[in-house]
Amino acid sequence: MPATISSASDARLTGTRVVQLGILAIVAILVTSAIVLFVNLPDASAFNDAVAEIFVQDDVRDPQGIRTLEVLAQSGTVFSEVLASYRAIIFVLMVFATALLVACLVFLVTIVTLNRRMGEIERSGIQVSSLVLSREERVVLLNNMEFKLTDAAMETLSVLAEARMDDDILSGAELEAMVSGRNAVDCDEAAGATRIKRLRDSLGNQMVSELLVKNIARRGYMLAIDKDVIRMI
Amino acid sequence: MKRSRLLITITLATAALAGPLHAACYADYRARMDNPFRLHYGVIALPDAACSVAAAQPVIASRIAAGGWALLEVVSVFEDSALEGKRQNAGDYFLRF
Repeated sequence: MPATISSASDARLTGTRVVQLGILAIVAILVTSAIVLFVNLPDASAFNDAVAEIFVQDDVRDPQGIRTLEVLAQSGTVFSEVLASYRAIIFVLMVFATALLVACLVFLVTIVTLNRRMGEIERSGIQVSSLVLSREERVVLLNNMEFKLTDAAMETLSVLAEARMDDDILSGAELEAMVSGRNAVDCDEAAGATRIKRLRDSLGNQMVSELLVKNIARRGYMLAIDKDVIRMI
Repeated sequence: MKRSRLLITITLATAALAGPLHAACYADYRARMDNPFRLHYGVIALPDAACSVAAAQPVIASRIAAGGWALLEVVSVFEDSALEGKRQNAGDYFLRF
């Protein structure tokens, strides 16, 4: 069912967008808080300013008292070096916090997306997650289930797979033309329909026509699977 | 004798008149310096034109800036009579600038 498949990949697309926006938001928050942090943390001169204010307010005049104030300011300046290292530590912690937030967001979105896909899978019954065509062995692997095909059915399935990868829908006549190598105008619509019928017959008719080889009314045939899952060997 | 006494009197009178005119106005102030951080309390002589706390501020600021100091405040403006009482506190910065 193409609708199912497109909605599953839609969910993945939305998830990617949410992750991108979320990461942007987290980085913006980090940068803002880092700037606020660095602007607001007092620098070395803050202690000196405070001591100068004490000097004026307390009306200190004698040289001994002034000397004491200078020593006080020096000890504050020594502490300001410790403050610089605190700043680095805080910054590292913030980077860690951001990394964790980003990881949480990614995991959250992954879980939501997976849950949604699980829902899709439950509803659609069988999800083709891999389709491997092996022409030499005339074998098709559907979700690692092996099916032997006749040469003609193999050829039909290969043509359909190639068309699916190009997002093409083939009419019966086009299909016949591609398999037989003749011009599409010379080919019969019914011949293509017969090939489709034989392919479906060999894979187990009705279920396969619903799940794999789908007929789109008045347009033609296509494989009802995500094109990413097809591999040709 | 009489002549010399007169001379002394005139000299003293002149000194008494000229003394206050020469530098009758002083201010005490506080200043700081960064790198290294230092503080001082000092006394400075002012020209008569700048003999008030408000007028003394720019004068003192520009004079101590020559030594790398920044003015924090002008504490007060005073005359000769109060000068000696502040000599000890001002220490090295008594009339230095």
